[in-house]
Amino acid sequence: MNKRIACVLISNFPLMVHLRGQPELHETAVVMAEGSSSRSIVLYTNIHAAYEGVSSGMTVVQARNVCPKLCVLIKDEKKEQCRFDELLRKLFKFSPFIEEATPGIAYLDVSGLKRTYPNEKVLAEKLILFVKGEGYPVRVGMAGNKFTSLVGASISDTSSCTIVPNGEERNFLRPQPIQLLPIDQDQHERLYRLGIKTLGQFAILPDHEVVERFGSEGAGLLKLSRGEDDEPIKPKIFHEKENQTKELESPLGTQISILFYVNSILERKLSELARKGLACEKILVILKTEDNGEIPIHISVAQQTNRPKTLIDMLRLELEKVILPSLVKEIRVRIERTSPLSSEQLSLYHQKGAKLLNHIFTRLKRVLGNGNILSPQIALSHKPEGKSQLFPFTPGKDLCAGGKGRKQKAQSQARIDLNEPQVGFSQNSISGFRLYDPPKPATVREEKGAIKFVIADSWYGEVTRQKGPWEISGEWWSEGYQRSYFEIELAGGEEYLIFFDNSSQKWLLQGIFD
Amino acid sequence: MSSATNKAVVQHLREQVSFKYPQAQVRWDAYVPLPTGIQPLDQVLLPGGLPRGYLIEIVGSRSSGKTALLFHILSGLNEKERKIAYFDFSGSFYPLSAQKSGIDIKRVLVLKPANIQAGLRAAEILFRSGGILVAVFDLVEIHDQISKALLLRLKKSVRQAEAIGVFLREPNSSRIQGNQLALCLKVEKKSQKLLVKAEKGRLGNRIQEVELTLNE
Repeated sequence: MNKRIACVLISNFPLMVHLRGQPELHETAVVMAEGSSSRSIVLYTNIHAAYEGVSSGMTVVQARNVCPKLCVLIKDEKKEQCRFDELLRKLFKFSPFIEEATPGIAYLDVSGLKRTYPNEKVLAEKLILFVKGEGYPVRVGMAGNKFTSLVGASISDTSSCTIVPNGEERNFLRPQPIQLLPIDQDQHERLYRLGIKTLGQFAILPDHEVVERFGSEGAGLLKLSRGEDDEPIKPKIFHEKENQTKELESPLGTQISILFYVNSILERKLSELARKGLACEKILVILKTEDNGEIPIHISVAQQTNRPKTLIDMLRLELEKVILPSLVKEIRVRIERTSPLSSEQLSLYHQKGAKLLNHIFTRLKRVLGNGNILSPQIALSHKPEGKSQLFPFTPGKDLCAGGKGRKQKAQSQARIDLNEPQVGFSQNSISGFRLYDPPKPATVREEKGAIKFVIADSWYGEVTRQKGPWEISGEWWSEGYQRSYFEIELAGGEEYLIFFDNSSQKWLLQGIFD
Repeated sequence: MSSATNKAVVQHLREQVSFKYPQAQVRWDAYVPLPTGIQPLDQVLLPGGLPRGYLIEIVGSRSSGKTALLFHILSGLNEKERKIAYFDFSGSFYPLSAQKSGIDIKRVLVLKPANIQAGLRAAEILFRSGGILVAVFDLVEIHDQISKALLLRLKKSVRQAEAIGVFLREPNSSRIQGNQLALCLKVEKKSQKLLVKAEKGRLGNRIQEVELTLNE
């Protein structure tokens, strides 16, 4: 199937955004400047200002001298981007693949729309009619590649279109002015001095000479001028951040009723997101109470989701911590962060698990509380309690595919540790070790440097055998430690790891071999 | 009696029952074994390993080797895609010791419940998710009562998940009612070897003993 691309071009888009909201300025000379000072440069002019002799590049003072009744607007990039995004969202009804070049220029992939529109002219007319209906003067170009479609739109009159059939790109571009080539002013002047005034003249230049003069960029420019632009459409992904407010008929006071209303909002919002190929990562629920207070509740999920139930479960957990000062009169749900829906076909492992992971861990958190679901790791330390570290478990990172960096780090650390001699693991080959963290205090009776009797919190016993000491020390940069470890066996057969802490001058039990 | 002989006897008994009671609906797969990887132990256990879908316990006094036996059993489990949940009630789980016993600690999820009831509820959620092969309830030095209702629910979820619930405890810590358990492994230390007695539960009253050397 031949590729067809439509270019939608709105000239002076930043100026048009402001004029669209202020119809009283339509018959006035208006310019847009980059700042509010009088020395700011004029960036865009409308037709009335141009008629008065104002042109872009002048300072505001110069422009006012030329046209005293001039109305000066200040550029607002955020507003322009917002308006253009709004327009692009609406253009999704023409094509699912839309690329935003700059605010004011968009490319639509219109390949294979023959069944929907009888011919391209009808499609172009509908596009023009639609954008015009939104309040913007538009020009449309259609061709087999992006550059040719942009040139087509650029040379069209307002509210008209140029359609270039496939294979005709080079012929179409031949007579077009060289100024349409996307290069800076200096290079334009350079080409002009060489006598090159049209794209056709540039296209017939030998490749190696263009590359010599313009560098590697020259090869790309030659391709453009010959109508061989093969750059694909880079579809824009919208990161939704929308508010959904629900004003309640009667105020709510119970958790169940709040969850019911939030659920109805989330179901609608998440299905909309899913249709756009997006999934939710973070939401903000704001509960507005009758005493005009606001209670914000942030919910973020580790694994993107489109299941309202997961978010509702997490919201229930958060609501349990909140004491409502009065009844809730308004609920606002805002989707804070979205991400493209991950493709399940590409995931070979844990498909079902990954989908349900959030749900399971939300339920687990509710039962166990935060911070009680842990993932063990081996760390680099000389202290036995330092070697064993339990990190909060992150669903989707530890058991599933993600979290590669930390896992690899832990593996490498574990490898280092296991090759080192371990305190208390020298000869006790049949025993597992149970660690007391923090170590338990013990009282020791010594005779001639040997441990004879040990008393701990709930037991005491005579020591029949002892091994050691193993000396360890470290962390000189902070408080530091110096320990002498012993393995002891009591008369009853129990084996413990005990140490003398030189800094506190105390005996402590590190653990039991079991 | 060797594992092969065990299997032959079981097969013979099945044939006899089927012949005598052709209409009876008997679940022959009631004890699907999960081999522990410790051959002498697998040989004395009636299904040829730990019984899948049931609760078992490992009991032993201090320094008897019960934790070591547990770690060796966990390291020998061959279903690598399912995880191990370790309910650390006493807070004495030491990952380095587990790793030295051969357990891949990346498979282990450590949970620290506030009490036994919360732990059993969490275990039920995990078993129902289907991702857990073994849940260990480390009850060493814990003396709380265990709710029978929760234990029954846990038993049901273990059965559905075809997993195993292992209670690790000392003789004087929280007790599990005997009729809820399919197997009880009593561990004692005998010089540098472990003496494991497989007894009680639904696998018959006969006590089987085996001496193990875990570092072999």
